Amino acid sequence: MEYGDLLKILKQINSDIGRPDLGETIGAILAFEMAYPLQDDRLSCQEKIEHLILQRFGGR
Amino acid sequence: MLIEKINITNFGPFYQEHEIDFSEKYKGVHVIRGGNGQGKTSLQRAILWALYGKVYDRKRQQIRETSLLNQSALKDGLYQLSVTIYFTHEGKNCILFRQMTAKSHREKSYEEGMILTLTRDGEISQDPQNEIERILPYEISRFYFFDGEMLRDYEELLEENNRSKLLKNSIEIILGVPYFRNAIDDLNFIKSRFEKRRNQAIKNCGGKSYEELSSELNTIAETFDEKNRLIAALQGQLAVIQEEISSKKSELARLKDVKEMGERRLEIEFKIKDEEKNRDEKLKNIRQLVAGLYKTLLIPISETVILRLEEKAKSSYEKYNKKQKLLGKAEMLSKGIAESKCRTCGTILNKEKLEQFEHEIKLIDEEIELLTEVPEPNLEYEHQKVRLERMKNKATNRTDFININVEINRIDSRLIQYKSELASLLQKLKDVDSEEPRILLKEIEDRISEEGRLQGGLKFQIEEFEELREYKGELEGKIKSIPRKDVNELNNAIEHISPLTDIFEEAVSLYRDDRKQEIENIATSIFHKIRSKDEFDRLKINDQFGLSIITNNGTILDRSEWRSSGEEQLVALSLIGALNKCTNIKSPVFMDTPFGRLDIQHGKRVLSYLPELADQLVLLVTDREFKKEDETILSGKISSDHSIIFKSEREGSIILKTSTLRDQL
Repeated sequence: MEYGDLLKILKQINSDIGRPDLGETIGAILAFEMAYPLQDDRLSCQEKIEHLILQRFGGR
Repeated sequence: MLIEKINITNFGPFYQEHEIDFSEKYKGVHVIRGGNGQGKTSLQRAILWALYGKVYDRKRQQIRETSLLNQSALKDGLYQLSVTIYFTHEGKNCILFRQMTAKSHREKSYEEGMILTLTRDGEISQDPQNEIERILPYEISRFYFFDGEMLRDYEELLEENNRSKLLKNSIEIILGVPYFRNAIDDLNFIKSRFEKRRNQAIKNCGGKSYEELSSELNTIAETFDEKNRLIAALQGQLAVIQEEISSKKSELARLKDVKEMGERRLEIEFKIKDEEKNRDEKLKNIRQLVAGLYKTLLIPISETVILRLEEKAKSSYEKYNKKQKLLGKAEMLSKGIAESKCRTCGTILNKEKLEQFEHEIKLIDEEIELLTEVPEPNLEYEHQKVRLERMKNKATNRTDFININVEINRIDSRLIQYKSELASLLQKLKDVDSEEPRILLKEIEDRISEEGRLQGGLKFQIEEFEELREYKGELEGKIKSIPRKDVNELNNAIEHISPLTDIFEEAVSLYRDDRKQEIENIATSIFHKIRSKDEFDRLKINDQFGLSIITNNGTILDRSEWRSSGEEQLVALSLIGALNKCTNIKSPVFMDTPFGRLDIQHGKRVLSYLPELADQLVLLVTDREFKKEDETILSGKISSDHSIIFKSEREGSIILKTSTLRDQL
């Protein structure tokens, strides 16, 4: 299963709940998760997602 | 990932260095032959050990490091073993090298002396174990290193227990579900971190009410964390207990198989005895035939003698009859002579007649005299003739020899089958303890009671956790009214995390349903190619990713109904085939004794399907499983053919090309 296939599912759900503002963030989070899939990768992955969320919604 | 070459040194039955080379043609089917106990499973374990640094036996127990070292190396004092795998991955040439060296033959010493290196196009990886995990995660290796003897693993998918949950997790890793699950966990973790920061920001607002709110929020957060840890710990303990129960139940089931195997062993031993007795009798018959062989040689002579005796007997009868007739005639003539004379005085009454009678009787007496040598029928001729004819009938016939030989060959063929099955059963029955079932039952009971206790505790903790969540919701309202930018910004970020988490949570179930449907369809199409009965219409997947058979009438056949181990293997193979088609993980598939439970016909169907299973397929087979005609089924698809041969206790097992072995023989 490739990135595009997984993103398609997320975008479908997002469209159903009517939150277009989350679209780009979802794609970015999925990309981070696929780049950092292991248990040892968790910390690096969380830092990247945290930074992304603060940038998009935390006023930074 | 495509394997090019494997080097094994002092691992299991392999003493010193051995190589198995697939480099002539990576893709396709690679056959590795070997009888029981020669080293097929050890070869598979060597590869798993090189990849993950640990291997398990068929009872799911980890094999100790000290048990991995070759016995001859141990005797030589060489406490070092290694496996090197040369492979290509994503267009790069990789070399994986794992070595264990110890100063003494102790487990700890081996663990300390473990080396693992991975190079990609000559570049050394800084984190080799995680690199391997990215190529082929350990949890899913069971679907790529398949052991025909471990089908119970797959059967568990049809049951709702903790072990089936673990298997389900493994399948979800293959399918990519963990990307979503990791996202949920990561988002929850970030949310908790933001909440802590926000609480600190509230505290920084100053004032008693803010301080109290902050303190309350912190307490709730701490209790939340504590409850989370407690719940996770209880779930962990529960998982361990459930895994143990499942494993012990599995072991118990295996012991039930052992009981069946024990009964089969007695049955076979009886059959062998019976066939051997039968064979002895046939050999006795042959010996009798050989003893009568001289009679066969005498047949042409005896036939001439019989003819001669017949002639003699005939002539003897003729003479005897003639003599009897003459005696009768002589008696008549004697009467005539007597009547030619007066009975009182003896005066001749008719001289002419008397002289005629006397002349005739003289001639007859002369003739009788000549026949005196045959006084009565000569029965000796008849007797000799009958004896010779009897001997002729008893003489050995060529077809008798052929028929007995055919029967002996049939007996021998059955004996070979029985003895081979017996050898395989004895191997499986080795090290079985008769007390084990009772001990296992007791252990299962103890763990079930512990499981109940843990579940009670878990339920209580979850209820308290939910109460806390409700109270936390009430406090959230107060936070929103705080007129501080940093608090609001963090709050805004926290509020956006919840819908993101919801999306990923929904994606897990949606994606899982899609994948399940896809697996069901692909597994069904594979099953159609290898199914044992036409009445089996399709496969149906359950929540655990287990597959049931649906018949033409729509009946769902669960495990108890399609209990035949061969059919279970066909379903398991369909699942593995479907998983391999649905994943983006490309790895070789190793199959150890894949046809063990299948009869010849189904073995052939599976064999013709197997090349579709993976780009690189390695079949570890016994000669009984993989015969000469099977090579024809795979014609053109066999990329390499190797054999593992056990040489001697000192030399251990060796690997060589099957063609070389055949030349040597």
